[in-house]
Amino acid sequence: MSLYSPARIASAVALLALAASSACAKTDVPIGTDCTDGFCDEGRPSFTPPPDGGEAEASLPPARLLCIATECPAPYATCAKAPGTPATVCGTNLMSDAENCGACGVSCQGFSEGFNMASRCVDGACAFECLVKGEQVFRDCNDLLDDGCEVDTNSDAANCGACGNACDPGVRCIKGKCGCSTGWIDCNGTCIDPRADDENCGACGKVCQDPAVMCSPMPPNTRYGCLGSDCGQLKCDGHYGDCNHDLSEGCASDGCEVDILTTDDCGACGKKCLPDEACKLDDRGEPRCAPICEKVGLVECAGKCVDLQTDAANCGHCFNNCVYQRPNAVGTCNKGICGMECVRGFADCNGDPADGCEVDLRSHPGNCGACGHECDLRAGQPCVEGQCLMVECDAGVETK
Amino acid sequence: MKRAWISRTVAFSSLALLAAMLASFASCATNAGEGTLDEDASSAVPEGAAPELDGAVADALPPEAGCDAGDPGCTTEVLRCEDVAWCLVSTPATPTYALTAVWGSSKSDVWAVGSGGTILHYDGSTWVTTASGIPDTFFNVWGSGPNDVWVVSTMELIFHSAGFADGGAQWERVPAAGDPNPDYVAGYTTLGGGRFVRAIWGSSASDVRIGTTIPFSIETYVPPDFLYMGSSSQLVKGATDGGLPWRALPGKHRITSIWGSSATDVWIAADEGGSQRGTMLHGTPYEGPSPHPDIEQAADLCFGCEAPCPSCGALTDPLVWKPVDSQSKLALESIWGSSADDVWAVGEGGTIRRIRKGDVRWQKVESPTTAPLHAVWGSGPNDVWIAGDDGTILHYDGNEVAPSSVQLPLGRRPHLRGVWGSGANDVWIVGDGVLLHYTGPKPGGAK
Repeated sequence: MSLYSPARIASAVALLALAASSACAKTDVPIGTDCTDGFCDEGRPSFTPPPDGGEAEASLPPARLLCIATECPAPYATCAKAPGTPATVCGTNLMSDAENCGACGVSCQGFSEGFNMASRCVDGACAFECLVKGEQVFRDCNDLLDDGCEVDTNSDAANCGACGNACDPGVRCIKGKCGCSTGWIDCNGTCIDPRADDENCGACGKVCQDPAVMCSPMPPNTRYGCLGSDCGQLKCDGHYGDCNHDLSEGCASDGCEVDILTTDDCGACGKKCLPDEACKLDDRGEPRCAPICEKVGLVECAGKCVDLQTDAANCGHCFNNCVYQRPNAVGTCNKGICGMECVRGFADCNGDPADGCEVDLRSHPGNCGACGHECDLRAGQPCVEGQCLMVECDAGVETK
Repeated sequence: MKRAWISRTVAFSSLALLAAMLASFASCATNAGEGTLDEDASSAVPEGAAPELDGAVADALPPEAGCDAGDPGCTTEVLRCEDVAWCLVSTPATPTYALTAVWGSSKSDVWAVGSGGTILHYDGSTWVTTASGIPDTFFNVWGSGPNDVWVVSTMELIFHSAGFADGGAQWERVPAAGDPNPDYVAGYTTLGGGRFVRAIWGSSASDVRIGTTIPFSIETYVPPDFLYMGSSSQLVKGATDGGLPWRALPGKHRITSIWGSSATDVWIAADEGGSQRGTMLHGTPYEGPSPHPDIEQAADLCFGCEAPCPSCGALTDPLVWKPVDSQSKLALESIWGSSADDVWAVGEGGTIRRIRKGDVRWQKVESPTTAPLHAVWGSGPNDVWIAGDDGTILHYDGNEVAPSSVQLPLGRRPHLRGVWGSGANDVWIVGDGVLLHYTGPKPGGAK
């Protein structure tokens, strides 16, 4: 298990945080005299970044933020996550927090329920967007927020594929298109090919039966079914192909003589796989050329090539799903063994696995940006986006 | 001390070069060990990094190393073997694989297993791979002696070998599930599979016990009138009527480790979730009436289970399990004892527990780490080794548990997962891509 992912996050901000808060907030070094850390005025900029401080250099503002801030900078505020729970100082971004959108307690959530809408907080205002649920594609065609996204454009004949796109009278809207493609017919809301569908041969609902007089024996790998909209025609059965095109000879035919689940004829006559490929059945049960997992150093799990050393859904063994059910942590797979790591922005600062990754490094003033990196708690210095908040000296608490 | 300073622009410009560097000190380690690891391992010069790379220092590491210099979880200097207690030994295993467990019958017959179907053997001088033929992760290895060795992955992937011979080993699959052969006339047992096996221990070749991390379903029929349908998480060696070489015992535990001082004194660590993650069960001989209490407790359906239950013998565990307070809500992963009166357990969050004669519950042992601990083994009551994540090695010398010193490769500190020794001065620890050897105290006094 790796508990070090937060350290990387920390390292990204550590230079800035150390330069800003440690030197200013936590020590008594007078401003302008701390030359060892690059904070002195000896004819060079005070914020000379240490070596390799690329990101820190880019993010440093031109102003000299050398004093502790105690007020939340816009758009941050101190909002309780739930009524009665302690709030993290400046822990809420009012521009993007869906529970505190524009102001503490303004939630974007509740309204969208039941209206086929999702809501987000964008620039401090709730923004709504229509949902896609499985095969349903909802749209707000009447521009009324009150009824949300009221139309499924995948099935509404008056708004088929798009608002206002009406199908001809009597024509259904199927998967966002009016009616079916040329040659196909609408069979109870599903488009089928009547030329080859054994259950709907020539017309909707016409189920093929075997003919009264059948070949005996049947040509190899054949059966009777629908072909050219007629029942009782010889067809290939299973994964076989009529590569010499002699099925029309009927009982004298050599049938479907070619196995089309091979690398020479994969899914169709003459369709060759590449040298490093095998012919396998895909998700729909159709033959398809696919990489040979072992040749690329992988293992086949249910038809898919996976790396048992790194795949968290197949870790060390097919279908071994690495699940780690503790707060703000996810299961990982490393070297074929399940482990855990903290989700981005969180860390396990107390070393107790029971509470998972308990600290939000972006806003925790006692662990700001990295475990143990404390802002000036006594002065009330908040942690904003993983950095102890600093301001220009005429706007904040000046350090000694 | 000779140091090899590694320039970030030259030496670490490619993964190949890093690999070559790691490989080169590893291969030199073998050379050092091969010539010196004689029967008196305690006085031998241990395997270690090659002199020219001992003490290699990196002022920056490439992305392939998995960490940044300055990260406390990152090794930026390969310590010299003579300065540390534990030295790297060349491993023939693929570096991207982890080793999970180590066990041996003597100092010249040691096995290590891990991910990618890895099974390694050490004959006293050289580690070699033996082919398992599978890509899956092995979690444990145990044997009753040189000619009776088990490696385990899942219920379907349990392998047995009659030992190392002629430079290799034959591994026979002895599954506990996957090939049931129900015989409805003579009675049968069928086992649901798909469960991982981390725990295996025995008191002899005929008394072997396996634990699964998640219970599996079991159906047993003994004609004319006994039918059990329920769960099981333990298997003991012994052919069943259904033709499987393992006999399932009723139970619902999620077993992480098994260890016993004898066939009649066995401990099980089980991660039961929630506040029961640190469950410890003590097995002692069952002398009560039939049915065994576990049969009724783990059954979903049972016909013919009423006392005296003459057919219950098919499912009867010779031991009965009693929970003993571990004083831990964190999971315990490994158990070992110097005797029935002195048993250790280690696990998540740096948890260390010990139970001795007269203790009614496991006692807390002060731990110097919060790193997850995966393995414990000792040569006696005052010499216990513990291995865990991030290169953690702890030693108990009779007074305290303290960190030991270890030579690790450059890059992220590897997780260490298994420990075993043939004696106080010949102990092995295995982990993520590493084999580590302790060969006794050194002149420098490295702990």
